[in-house]
Amino acid sequence: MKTIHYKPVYIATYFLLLFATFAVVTLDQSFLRSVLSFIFWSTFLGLALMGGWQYRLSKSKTLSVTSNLFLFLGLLLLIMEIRSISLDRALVGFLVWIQAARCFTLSTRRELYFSYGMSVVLFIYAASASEESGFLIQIFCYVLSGIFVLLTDHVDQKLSIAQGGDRDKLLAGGHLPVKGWNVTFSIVALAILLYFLVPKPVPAGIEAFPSGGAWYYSNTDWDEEENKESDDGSGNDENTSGEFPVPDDKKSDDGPKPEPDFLDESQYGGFQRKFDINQPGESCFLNDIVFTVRSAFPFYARGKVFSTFDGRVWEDGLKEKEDLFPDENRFDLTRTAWDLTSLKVIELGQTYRIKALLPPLLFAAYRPETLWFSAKQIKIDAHDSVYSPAALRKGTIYSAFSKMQLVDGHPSGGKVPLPDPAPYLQLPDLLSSEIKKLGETLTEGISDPFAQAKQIEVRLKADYQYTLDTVLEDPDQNTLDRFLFETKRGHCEYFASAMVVLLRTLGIPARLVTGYVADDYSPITGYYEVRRLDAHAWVEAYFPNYGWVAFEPTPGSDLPLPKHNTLGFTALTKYIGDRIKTAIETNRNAWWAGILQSISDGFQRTQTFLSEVVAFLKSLASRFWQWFKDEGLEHFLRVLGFLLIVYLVYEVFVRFFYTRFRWWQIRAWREKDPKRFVCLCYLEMERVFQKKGCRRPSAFTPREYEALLSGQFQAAAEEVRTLTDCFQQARYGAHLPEHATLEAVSSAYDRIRRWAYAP
Amino acid sequence: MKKHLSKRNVLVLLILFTFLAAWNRGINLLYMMWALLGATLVLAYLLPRHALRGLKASRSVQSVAFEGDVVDLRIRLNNKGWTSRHMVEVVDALPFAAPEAREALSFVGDLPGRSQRSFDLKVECWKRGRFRVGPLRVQSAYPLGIFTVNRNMPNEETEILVYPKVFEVANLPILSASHLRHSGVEALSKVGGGDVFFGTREYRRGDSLKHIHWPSTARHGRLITKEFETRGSTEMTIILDLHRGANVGKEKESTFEYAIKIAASIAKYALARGHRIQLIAYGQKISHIPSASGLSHFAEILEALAELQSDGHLDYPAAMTEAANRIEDGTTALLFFSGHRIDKDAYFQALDLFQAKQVRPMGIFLDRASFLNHSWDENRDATVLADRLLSQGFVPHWIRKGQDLSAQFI
Repeated sequence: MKTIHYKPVYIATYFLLLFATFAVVTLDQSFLRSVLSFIFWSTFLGLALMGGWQYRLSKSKTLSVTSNLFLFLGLLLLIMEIRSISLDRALVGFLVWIQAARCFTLSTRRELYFSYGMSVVLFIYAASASEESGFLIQIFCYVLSGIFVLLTDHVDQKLSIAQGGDRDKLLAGGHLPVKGWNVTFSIVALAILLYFLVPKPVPAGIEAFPSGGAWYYSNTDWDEEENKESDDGSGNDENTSGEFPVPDDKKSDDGPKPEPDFLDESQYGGFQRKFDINQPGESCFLNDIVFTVRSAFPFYARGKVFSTFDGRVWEDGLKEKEDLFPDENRFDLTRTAWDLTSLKVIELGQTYRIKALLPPLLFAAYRPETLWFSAKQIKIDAHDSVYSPAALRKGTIYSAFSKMQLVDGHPSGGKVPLPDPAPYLQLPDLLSSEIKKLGETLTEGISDPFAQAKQIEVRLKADYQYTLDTVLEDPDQNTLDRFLFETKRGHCEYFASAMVVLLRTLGIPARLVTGYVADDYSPITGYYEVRRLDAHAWVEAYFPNYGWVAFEPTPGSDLPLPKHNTLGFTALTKYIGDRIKTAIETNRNAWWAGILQSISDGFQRTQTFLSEVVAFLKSLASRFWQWFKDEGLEHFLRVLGFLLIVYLVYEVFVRFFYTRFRWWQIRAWREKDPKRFVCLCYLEMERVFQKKGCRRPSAFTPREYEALLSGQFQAAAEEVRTLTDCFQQARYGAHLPEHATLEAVSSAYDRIRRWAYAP
Repeated sequence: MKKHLSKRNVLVLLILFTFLAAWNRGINLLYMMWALLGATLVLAYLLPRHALRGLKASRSVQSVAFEGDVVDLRIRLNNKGWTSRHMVEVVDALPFAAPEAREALSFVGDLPGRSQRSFDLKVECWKRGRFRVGPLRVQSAYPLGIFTVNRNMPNEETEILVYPKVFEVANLPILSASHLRHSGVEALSKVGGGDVFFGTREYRRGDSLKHIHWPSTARHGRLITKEFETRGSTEMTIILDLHRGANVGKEKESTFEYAIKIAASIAKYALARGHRIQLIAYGQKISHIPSASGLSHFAEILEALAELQSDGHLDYPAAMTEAANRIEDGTTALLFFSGHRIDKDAYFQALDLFQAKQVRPMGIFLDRASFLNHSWDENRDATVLADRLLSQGFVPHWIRKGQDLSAQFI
């Protein structure tokens, strides 16, 4: 086994193992625990590798025993942890201990490679489990230390076999022969280019879906929730306030302090049983992530549906919920068969990772068919809203599989019957006649219900302005009237409510839907990040031919299309742009908001300029293509034909006529001046080989040229020799070439000519 | 398996794996890792190519050396580029060196732009022979050792002649084949040594007229000439066995290499004492260095011995018989018996011929079994030959593998 000679190998290994270990042990850990872990492992690995260096020299028994001791300790920990944490985490922890313990006796290259392999396994595990953007820094650190490792290992390998040069100096000094910054910079720059410019294909998702776990929701949770709901003393499961159940201690001022993980006012109002559109909640201004979701494309995560509206407050209007029971955590949500229409069915798998306490709603894209959730029982209502036994706790993971159709770019849950449309046609009692008239005005001349809905959606988007300022305003009773006819500005709930009411005035069944917009794709983690301020309200309208179809009347919001973004660069610019925009919106009064706005504007202008340039080039290309199809192709073919003819003429002329003509010219000298004839043949031969790329160098004698040609063109070597011999005789000899010589020259040149111009 | 488990292959596999894992789950962090690993691979491929641009290397080495000598190779590296070149390796093919040192590698950590470096490399001449040193090549796997690029330096192939190792022969009696031979007097090479009157005989055509014994001629009426006896021939003929089968053992520890060393050492010993030496060996071609004396002749003998290879097909008895034609009567022949295919009759016939020519056979018996690392006795037949020489009064020398050769000739 080859021993390590070069000290920097140990230093590089230290960093590599440290980053791999750190990446694994700090998964899902708090900052404090991460810092403590870092301190512990950096010290431990440092001591272990120092021991390894000593072991290399002394083969100390003490170090060997220490290594075995820690291996045993690792085994003990594995046995202890396997009962309390998941198997994969326990095994990974065991690997961490093994590699650290082995460092005490690390002295050969084989052991070194074993360590590297182990670190790769650990790090890939960490990379696949982490969802934090900050992990990117760890990746950089790990790969760069890997580069450092490769570099030192290469030097060590060479120094172990080198006999001269800088060998002794490097071994004695233990320093690196290169400054690695330029290499590091080059690698990082190229990696960034590769990352952002290489298209990422649509994930295959083999054995990657579904995921679930972390929290189990038992039926006790149901009971607790129900108890909370009925704790108002009435025994009625309907909460008069319409709020989600909160414990008494939360409601009472003099009670104990609330549980830290309980639902608070920051929750979006649209997930409660009653929803006042004037009070959507503070969540509109909160930027913290509530869940991340992995899916192939952006979508609307549907939460709750409301059907009854009194002009200000929405109610879901449903009391009945159907119980669903799982088959190994798999819930089948298909209660009605998927009615296939001519429209294409789009499938979408989603895996949700809850990052903050959420209401007991299981969000999913249109229309959820299957759900993987760790619970004994869930519930579903007639609106396809799915309920969990309790509020979704942080760390919960669940998956959903949905199917949708696109009706002219609008997601739909497929064609389903609507036996009783009355609840979806209900109008507020105090609805003004102007609103009724407005619906007709907006859709004047349009008879198709779907076209009417689209028209209302377009007009609301175009004629009204989106703002969050209205959230803070003091509401009055005639909210919709004020919005539609006076202020013409408002938040998404105003737009959605207005469109539902307008559709209902036209006799189109409609309802309001709340949920989250999952379109904020992080190009770093690959997850869609859903924040509190992504809570949203939109509209579903019913059409007998399509079923319930989603509409988005809020300006600035577009229904997400099932399009996979393959270029990391595009995703990154969008992600950064969105983050800046959000930061400005939620911190308008901050001193840096103006600066950020200027940067954002500049960025926006650059992007717009680039987009215009691209659009111009595209249109240019498009116009050219159009011209090419109409006229250009004909011109092109003509030019091509002409060039072809020219080429053919040239080929025929040169290959056939010209060479023969030239040969005829030369032959004419055979009788008149045999010497000249031989010289001309030789010159022609030179010309032929010049065309073949072998020009006679000016300093070359005929003999040297012959050697050159014979080496390169062995097929013509004999003829070249004959011509050179005869040329030397004719050029420098005293006698005239004999008849046999002339014959030999003729035939040699003729063969060369035929060989050269052979097709 | 080990061949395929190179750093490059592992890295390529890792890149594939991370890409597949990233693609399968759409994990961007794995995509980033893939990009970093990919960038590493791409640069590991490109940078060594750049590292060799504008690099020139040359080497100088002495042209002659003795086996066992340490020679100095002077290597010069010239960076004609503007930027530094890092981790440059210079590899020289040194076929005369020990097996593990035949690809001599020098490692230069840093060579600044527009600069030149020289350094020495000490290499022991492990093996005799004429060798072509080189090609000299520069190579680089900068910075990660994943891809190696190398370039041969043109016109950097030189020759070195390594003479066989010569050990000190303290004493080796080269006896005369004359009438004094039984007295054990060592022959001396002296001018006029061949003037001892032996008798008269009838004149033969070609005899010198100055040796005509005129009184006898007058008495008998026909030409009678005087005959002289050669006084203790001082010529030695070295006859080497170049038959392929005769050479057993590996590299330096082979019967042939031992024979070469002994021949060179005895030749030196004999020439130092004024004897004449000729060398005869039948390999693919006949190597014959005619008899001569002096220091320049020793160089000639050494050169021939340096280049000889056991590549022949002629059995040693046949070679001895052939060589007998070139040996002067009454001289000494240095014979090497390697125990290969002992045909006693053929050997005895050759030795008889030598005896007839009064050639004194000096037998060196190479213990074949020891060179083959065999424990059984493979030298029985050779022993018969040794006995035959002993019976003629010539003490055979037995040489075993690993033996101190100079101790054998005290």
